[in-house]
Amino acid sequence: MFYLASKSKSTGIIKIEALEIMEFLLHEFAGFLKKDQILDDPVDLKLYETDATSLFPKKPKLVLLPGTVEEIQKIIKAITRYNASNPPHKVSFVARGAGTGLSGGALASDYSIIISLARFTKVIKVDYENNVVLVETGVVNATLNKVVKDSNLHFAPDPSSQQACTIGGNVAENAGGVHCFKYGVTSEHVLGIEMVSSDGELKYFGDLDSDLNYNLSSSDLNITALVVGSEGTFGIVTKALLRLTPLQDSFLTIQAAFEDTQACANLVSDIIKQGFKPAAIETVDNNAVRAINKAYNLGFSDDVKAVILIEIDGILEEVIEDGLKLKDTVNKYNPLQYEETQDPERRLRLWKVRKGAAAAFGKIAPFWYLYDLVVPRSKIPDALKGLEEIADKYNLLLANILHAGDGNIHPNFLYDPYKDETVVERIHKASHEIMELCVSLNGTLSGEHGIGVEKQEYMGHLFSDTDMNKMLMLREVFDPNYISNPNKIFPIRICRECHREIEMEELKS
Amino acid sequence: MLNEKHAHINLEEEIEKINACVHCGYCLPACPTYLSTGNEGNSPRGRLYLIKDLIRDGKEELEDTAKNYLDNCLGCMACETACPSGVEYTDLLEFARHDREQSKYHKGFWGFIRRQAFKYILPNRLLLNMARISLRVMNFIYKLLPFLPRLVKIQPKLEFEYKKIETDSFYPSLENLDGIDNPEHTVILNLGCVMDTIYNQVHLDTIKVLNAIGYHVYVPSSKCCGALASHSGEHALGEKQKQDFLKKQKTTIDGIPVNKVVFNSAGCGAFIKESEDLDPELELYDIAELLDINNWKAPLPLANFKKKIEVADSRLMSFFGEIDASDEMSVDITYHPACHLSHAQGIRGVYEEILKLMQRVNLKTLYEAEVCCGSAGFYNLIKPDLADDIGKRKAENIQNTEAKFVVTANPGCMSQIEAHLPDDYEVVHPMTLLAAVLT
Repeated sequence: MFYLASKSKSTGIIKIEALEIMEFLLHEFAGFLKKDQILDDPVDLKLYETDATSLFPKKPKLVLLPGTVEEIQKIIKAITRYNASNPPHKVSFVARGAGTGLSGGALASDYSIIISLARFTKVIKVDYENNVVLVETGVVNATLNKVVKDSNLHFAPDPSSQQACTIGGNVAENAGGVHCFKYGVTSEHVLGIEMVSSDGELKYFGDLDSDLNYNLSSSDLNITALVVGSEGTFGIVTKALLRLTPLQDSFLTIQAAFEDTQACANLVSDIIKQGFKPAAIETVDNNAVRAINKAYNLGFSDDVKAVILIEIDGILEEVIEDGLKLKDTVNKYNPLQYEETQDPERRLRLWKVRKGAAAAFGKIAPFWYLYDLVVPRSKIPDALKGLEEIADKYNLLLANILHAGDGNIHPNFLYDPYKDETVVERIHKASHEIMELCVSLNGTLSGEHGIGVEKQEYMGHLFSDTDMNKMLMLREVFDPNYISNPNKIFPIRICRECHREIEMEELKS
Repeated sequence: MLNEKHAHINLEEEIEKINACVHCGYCLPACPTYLSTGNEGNSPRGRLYLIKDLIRDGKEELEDTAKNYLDNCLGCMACETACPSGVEYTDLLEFARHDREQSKYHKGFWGFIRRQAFKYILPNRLLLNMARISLRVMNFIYKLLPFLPRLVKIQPKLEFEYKKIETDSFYPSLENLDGIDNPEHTVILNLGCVMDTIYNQVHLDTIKVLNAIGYHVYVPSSKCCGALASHSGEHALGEKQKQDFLKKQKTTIDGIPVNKVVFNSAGCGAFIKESEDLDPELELYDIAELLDINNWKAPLPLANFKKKIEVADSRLMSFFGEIDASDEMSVDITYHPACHLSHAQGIRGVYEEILKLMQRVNLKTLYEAEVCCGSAGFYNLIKPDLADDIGKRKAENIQNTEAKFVVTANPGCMSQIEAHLPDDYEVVHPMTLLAAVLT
């Protein structure tokens, strides 16, 4: 459980009577939505105050469950109309899929209405000839994969939350996953999108046109790539045209355990230097190994400080050949244990050490706080060392999981605020140092979880005000009034929308 | 939060249980009520978030909206299968539901009626049959006068035929043993309540199948096992019914006790298996466990069983009414796993494997197979609208497979699915299918 005291922030939004606004809008919404599509009971609003983080709970003013794109358009048009006729009131909207995000991207901000895409679950068309699929964005990633599996295809991005997260969320956060080292992150698999922009109009980008036909060779400016990863700040993506990748014939999974974390890190660099292109390289270190070993009885000895998982896939001959070479490379680093398998069931068992990590942490401490750092691969050993020092300094229990192939590190602090009263405060301090460590190693703030509200205050460590203003200008092109998922990504101090609000507040007084 | 009713509950334990939920949301797409409504309150994560108030934050009582969300839970346990952290959702929900004086289902006139129904109708063959017939009459009236407001949204195709099965008897009878005389190979089969009334043929078929794989069957005069009452919150009554039920699970052959008890209703088996104070001698099996070709237990050698299944072409085809001599004829079947089999007992794949053995059966993959059909005990009587939505979704998924035959192993699922499918579809219990093939 993520549990940190929520920070109080001055967003500069003008205090207005929320009730009044919402009553006016409620009346409008009731004109085209059914009763069960409008949630305004305090219990409902509480249920939508968090996503998979419990970091910054924030109750929305209203939750809507539209069933069609037209309804979303009507909702946004009603909001726009209201805002236009009642300056300086500003009601905003936030799209929400399954609420599995880890950076608070789908949470409300002041005067936000949550528009849930939970009812947009249609797989509209699977085109087996061109290996593309058109889906509504509320479709769950794993569900889509089940639909196309019989045809030996898959949608490659596979975040850990795959079994629940929606395509819309994948698009918003530009999701990665354990196999994205070889297959690439979401942006490389989205060919076109349909988006309801912040004026309520439908926009089509990339290979998709307004009749839902697609032309797989469009050559205009690649706006799709801009929208992917914009965390819902450009509008609400309602349909996506996705690329499907053929499933590989065969695979080989290697698991090796080491006494020394550094040896493991060096091995990763070595594998990549030699030009291997594994589908996944994952490592789990020290405390994480202990937790998982205990939870699932995996039989690692007490000396094991790091476990690496390498998976290669492709045609059989290639896999066997690469497997032999990889085995040699791994053995150079003197593993305590080595196992390789081509058996699907054994493979699941080997993967348990990685995929079962999160659940196993729950057995050590009731809460954990998870980071999403990226550093250049060559800097992984330095990063791990730095993290350990920070954890020691603040007396915190650290467990690392790494998508080692692309330098994405997920350090976790496991803690129990009921037994240790100052632990939350110490984590806050450590967070700051971790972000600084990451930037000093030429790293970046987020690999796949997004910035959201969680890391917005750290953006300044990485980007200059000029850079961020440029990004905001780009955003203004799509959402000039800042009503689509406002107050996210950018630090509050730089945020133009807030500055504008403050100016308006000054004007008013 | 805690009153005298909760005195037996250890709050520390409950806190630990609720802390296990990390709010990751992996349970959402597994939950039938969330799939149908898209509402967080109708998801396991949402419900746990509400229960958390009660357990961790010391709230006195839940709001009506919150209670309604808790009531909407079918109890299918699919979320427990999906949960990576092993949250004991069912226990936590049970805890929250203890605080239920306010619930309209448990108090006043309707509460009284419900209790009487559990107490007198379920254990009584005659009354159950009358209830079945009145449902049938009601359905007939609805057909004639479709504009009448509906009390119940289920219209199972209830058969009138009822073949009485003698209780306290052996099948085959002791005089006519035909080679089966090892008490080790004798099993106790309970008739239960709903199954015996609505799908009484399934019991006859189960006996045939058990005989065919080499078991001698004893049918005791047991009544309802108490699962339905217990799952509806009538714990005291459910417990009493269960104790009465367990007392009947005893017989001997030549003085040697028979310990194997077999269930062909997934719901009953799951409920009895969960009991804490079971006689350690007793071995409880769902019938599927005796038919698991990967873990074969029956006296009939596995090879013989497989052979019987594989070569039963003509019998199979005549069972499906596809009497055509041509070898190319095959029949499409889909399988709906009952929640009480897959999620509650963790029994998976048994019937699929057997269906795959049948040479002229095409087993069609059912989308959202392990999602509840909306039957869930008496859920379709308590929450008719939601149960109807969930049932329609299941029916749609079945229709998309293009198979006209649905195999499922629980009477509740059978009637719910039948009620939502068009007339030309047929829902069969695996025992009925196997009986046709094996005998």
